[in-house]
Amino acid sequence: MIAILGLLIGIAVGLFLQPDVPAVLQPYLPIAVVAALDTLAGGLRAVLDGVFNAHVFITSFLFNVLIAALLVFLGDQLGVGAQLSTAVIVVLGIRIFSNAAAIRRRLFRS
Amino acid sequence: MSDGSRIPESRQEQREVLRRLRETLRPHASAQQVIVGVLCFLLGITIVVQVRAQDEDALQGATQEDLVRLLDESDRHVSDLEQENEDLDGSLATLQAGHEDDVAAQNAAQQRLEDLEIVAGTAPAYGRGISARVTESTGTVRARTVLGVVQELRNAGAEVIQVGDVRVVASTSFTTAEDGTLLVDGTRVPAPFDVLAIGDPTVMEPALSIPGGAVDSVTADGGSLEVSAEEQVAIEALATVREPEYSRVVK
Repeated sequence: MIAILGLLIGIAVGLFLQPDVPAVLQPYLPIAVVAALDTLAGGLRAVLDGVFNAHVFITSFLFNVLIAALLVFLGDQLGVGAQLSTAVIVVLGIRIFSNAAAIRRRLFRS
Repeated sequence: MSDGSRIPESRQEQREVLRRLRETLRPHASAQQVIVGVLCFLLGITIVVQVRAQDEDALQGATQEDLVRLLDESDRHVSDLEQENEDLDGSLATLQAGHEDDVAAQNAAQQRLEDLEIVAGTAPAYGRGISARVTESTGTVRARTVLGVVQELRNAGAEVIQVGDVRVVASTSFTTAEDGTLLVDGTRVPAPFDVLAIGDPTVMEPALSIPGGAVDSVTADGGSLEVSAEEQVAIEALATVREPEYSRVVK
């Protein structure tokens, strides 16, 4: 509940304040968002499985975001930034889909 | 990845899942929940910021590589467009030149047509010239005398000549009818009649009056020729052009 509230408040604050992101972080933001969404889906699935652990969620959230950003940074340095970004997005997308599928099965039994 | 594609087997298990969902949705004021909330809050901000940045300027989030590629592409596009612009400018210049040529050719053709119409006698003409009145007092003015008058006028540079109501052109004939009346191109021209000519009056008038010239020969025929220079002579008689029956243009 607090999580959903936090998300809504975050969106509201973002709309209201329109904060500026430092240019250094600009390329990593989309990847970080996708990684966070993946963690969110994984967390919801864990909740439905009854194995949710806030510690695990928090660390995996931060780690996913950090690793995703790191991969993009590394890709940029190696000159394969675009391809590596695509790879990360694809992997995270697949995970989001499989998590969503698991959640759906739990909730609707089909 | 999908290790736990475990589908709830029974209705009871389904209820258990839904219970867990409700349980989670109920607010707990634990530190962990708060941290999760804060993370979600940050995620919300980030999403909004990212979406906005994307809306504002798609280039802001682009990598250096992408930017270089975009720059290359737009450079290439610009040079393509410049090339096309040059081509089109060239075509435009060509077409304009062609148009000017066409206009010049048309003007020349129009001018030539007017010249030929005047020479052939198919168009009315006006200009400076002379008017000469032929009257008969004691005798009949002969056809060859009138022809002499016309020849004198031509010598003096007359461009358009009209005798009576007949336009004089290259094929015009001067003959005499059985009763002695002058026939110009088969048309009766009884005296007195006017001879109109367009040309330089200062040349034509003296040319007719020289001793032994046109005036004298008309007088010798028993008539008189009164020549007067005119600022504006209008020659409106037209000659008909016959289709050449035997002549062909040499090509």
